[in-house]
Amino acid sequence: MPLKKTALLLAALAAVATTTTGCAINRATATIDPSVNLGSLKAMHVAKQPKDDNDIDVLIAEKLRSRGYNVTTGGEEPSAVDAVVTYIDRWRWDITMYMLELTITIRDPKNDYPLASGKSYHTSLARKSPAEMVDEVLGNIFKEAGR
Amino acid sequence: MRTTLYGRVTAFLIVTALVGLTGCASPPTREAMLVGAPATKNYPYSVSVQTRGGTETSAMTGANVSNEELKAAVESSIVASKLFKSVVQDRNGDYELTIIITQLTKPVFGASFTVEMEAGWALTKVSDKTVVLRKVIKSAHTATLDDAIVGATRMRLAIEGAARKNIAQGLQAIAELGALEADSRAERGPTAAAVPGPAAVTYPRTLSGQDIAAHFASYPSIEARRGEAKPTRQAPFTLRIRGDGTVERSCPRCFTPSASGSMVVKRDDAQVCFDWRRVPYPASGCFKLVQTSATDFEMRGVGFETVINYSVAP
Repeated sequence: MPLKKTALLLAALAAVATTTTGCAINRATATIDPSVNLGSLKAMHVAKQPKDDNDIDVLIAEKLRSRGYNVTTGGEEPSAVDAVVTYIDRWRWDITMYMLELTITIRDPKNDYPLASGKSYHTSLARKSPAEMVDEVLGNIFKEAGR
Repeated sequence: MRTTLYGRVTAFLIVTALVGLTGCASPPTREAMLVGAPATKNYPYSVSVQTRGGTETSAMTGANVSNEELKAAVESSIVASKLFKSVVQDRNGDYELTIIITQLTKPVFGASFTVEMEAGWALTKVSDKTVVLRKVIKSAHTATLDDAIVGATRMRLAIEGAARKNIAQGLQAIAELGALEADSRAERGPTAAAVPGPAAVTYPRTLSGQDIAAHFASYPSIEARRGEAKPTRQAPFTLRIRGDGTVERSCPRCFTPSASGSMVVKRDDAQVCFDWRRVPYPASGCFKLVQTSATDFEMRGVGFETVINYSVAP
């Protein structure tokens, strides 16, 4: 009897696993403060997340440099920058670790006000590499900004 | 024997998982995010509200704050608080308020859910595009098992609380803007500038029926202190207002610690009425709601002398 119940339980769990994690979700959004002109920014600093072991800050910095910005990165913020870039990366495990969600926010260094923010969310079956996630988020931010 | 035990354990695990983990995600509502407390300023301007960065609630991503619900909650809060003269649509106001949600951090699992919200609040004068406010507002709210035993409901309450606090802080930041007040004085002219503006809130202030409904929507859990007219029954109690018109009272020092009942806001009479089942304290009946300071309130019995005092977070 326990064997039959175990089989039923496993079947139920399999059904739940299939219906709740088996589909791919892709979501990418960006929002810009309408009064902000990202083109007027020249120098940015990417603030490294203390728990980031994947050097996401370096990927963001490289991508911003390729768009013509002077970019520094690391834990300490230089005194004269036009914007500070922060990010939050969320990871999940499904056979291997993958980046589930990346949020990048470009902030006013004076008061942390979010000048622009973008977010990409891809579940396991639609997973992207960290470089692709960074590219997608920044691409959407600048697309929204009309640059 | 072993089979019975196995079955019970399995059933317990399934029920625990269903209650704690799943449940359908329900979206936060504009009513629950509404801030009903009156503003300390009333600006003689119209304002339009834009919200961005919100996400729709879905079964896969769980409860979220949508742009539409946040916009409606902010607009209703401005109307209820009388911070601006009016709220208009399509950027046709004197000022434009833009709120961008940049973070909504939600826990995955736990008995208490703490949700953190970050939003950028920007207020722009439409006529000359002057930015009079740019501020990042961070808020957090914790919902416990006392608030809801079902995880999805607890998550919704935590999100609504974080959003409500964010709106309250944002409106307070606008109320504290010197630039807007100076503009307001200048437009009223030198004579008007010399006298206190009509915006100043004076206490005590009896809340209207609409204000009462908005107030209890903003503060669903109230720590009440005592009933003045019955000194022998001054035990503090917690009043919890559910969205379905039911209320619960938790009073550890009372003979009956837990009680439930119903609550109705009579808008036309500007009264809130309680009907408690099987307990005499607090008294059943209708009350006027009087605000005695920015954070202090009194429920004054209509036709009986009970007074219930409580304070809310600013």
